[in-house]
Amino acid sequence: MSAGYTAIGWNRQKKLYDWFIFGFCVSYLLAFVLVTAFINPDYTFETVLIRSASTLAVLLLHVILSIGPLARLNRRFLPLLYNRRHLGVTMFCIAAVHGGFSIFQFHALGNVNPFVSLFTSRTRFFSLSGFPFQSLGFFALVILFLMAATSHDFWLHNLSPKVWKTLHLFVYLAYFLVVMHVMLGVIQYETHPVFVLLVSAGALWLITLHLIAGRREVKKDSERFGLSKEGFVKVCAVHELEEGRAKMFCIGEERIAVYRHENKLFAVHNVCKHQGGPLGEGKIIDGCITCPWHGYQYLPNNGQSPPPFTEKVSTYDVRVNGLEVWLHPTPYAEGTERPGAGIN
Amino acid sequence: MKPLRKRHLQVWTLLAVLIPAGIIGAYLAVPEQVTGDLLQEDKTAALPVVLKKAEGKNHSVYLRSSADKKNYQLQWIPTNVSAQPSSLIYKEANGEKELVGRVGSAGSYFFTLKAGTPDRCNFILYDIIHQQIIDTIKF
Repeated sequence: MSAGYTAIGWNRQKKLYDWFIFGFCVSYLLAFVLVTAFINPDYTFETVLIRSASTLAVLLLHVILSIGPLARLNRRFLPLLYNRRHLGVTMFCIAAVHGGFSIFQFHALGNVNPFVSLFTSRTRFFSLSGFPFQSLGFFALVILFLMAATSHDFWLHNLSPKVWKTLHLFVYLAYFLVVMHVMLGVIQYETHPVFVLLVSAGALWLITLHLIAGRREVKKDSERFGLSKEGFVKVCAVHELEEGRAKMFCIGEERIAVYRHENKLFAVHNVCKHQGGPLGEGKIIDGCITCPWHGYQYLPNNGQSPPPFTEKVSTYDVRVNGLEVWLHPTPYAEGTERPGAGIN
Repeated sequence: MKPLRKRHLQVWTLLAVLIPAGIIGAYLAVPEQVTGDLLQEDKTAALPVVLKKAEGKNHSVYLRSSADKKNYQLQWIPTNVSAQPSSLIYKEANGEKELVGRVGSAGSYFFTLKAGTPDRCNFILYDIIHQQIIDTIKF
């Protein structure tokens, strides 16, 4: 979160995060080269580079796609969500190394344009084993490029969070293309079962994780709040709310986050103005509701970002009756001051 | 947020079907490994009689036979290093084409031809990458 434009608002955590990514990638590539030199000393440097970059990119893609559902299932994974975009850009760069060297090695040494060769060297579209798998990898790389190129907040603000998030949903299509690129490519001649098992295990892990997290969301959203009085709906007991944390309630079409802060309850719209992050999954830091995705902050009593920031979210009325929490689902205008409800 | 996460769930439900189907289908389609079925044998000796000789732009071609003309052989020698790393040779006789073997960009290649190879036949050098005929040798 920043008041003025800077290309990247560096802070200690971001630097540590990026240094860790850099160290991991270098270590992985070195380990791959060394192991290959030991097991297959006949392999050329280009082949080792192509294979090490591809496996690293696929591994990072699995990590990236795991972070979202893991963070939804367990708050301990939330720090991984911060700067996930840096991981995504890194993954694209490594995938681009794989793609670039593959095109050079397999298509650039003839008398035909490498990209023409890429799309015309295999044209058996109705055969699985002869399918033009390289095209699948190419299109996946194009999607990853678009995502990396638009990953900066500049594009988020210009495209709007809704369009931006929709665009970035294409990562799932990219993942599918990558799986098929691997299965119809290298798996067709590297027939050791360990390769198929690794791809299958990765896919199974991601599918299971996303379905479990998704089903949990559906269950949470399907919760019915029976009792209502003067427009207020009984949502939970006071003791269920932890200090500095929130619970989310889906009443009607949108989610409302009810925060407990300094023995008072405040309710705000659950959607962060930055990227649509879930404010109710964050926590109070320095007296502000802090979005778990990128640290955007809002004051709990009025839903406004502290000056000089200008973001605002809607607020709601909340009441405490005895040990029960009651919530009014009609939103006030964004940034409207509400007194909150004291806990006796 | 709610519609977005609903869409995530819909996409992953679809992927839960497509990805396993893709993996299983692709794995079942893995071709069986072919071993010991080379088109060209190693260390073939040249047959003694040269029946015909032709010079292509980038290769010399010899049609050879044994002294009793029971065995026929094709010798293919690239004279310039070819731009194609690998090309196929087909024999064309009486309107029928038959695969003879594969040649690389340099070296000397011998191919055993079937008994009864007619004296009048064509040999077609075919670029499998760009799927085009490179040259036709007419005997």
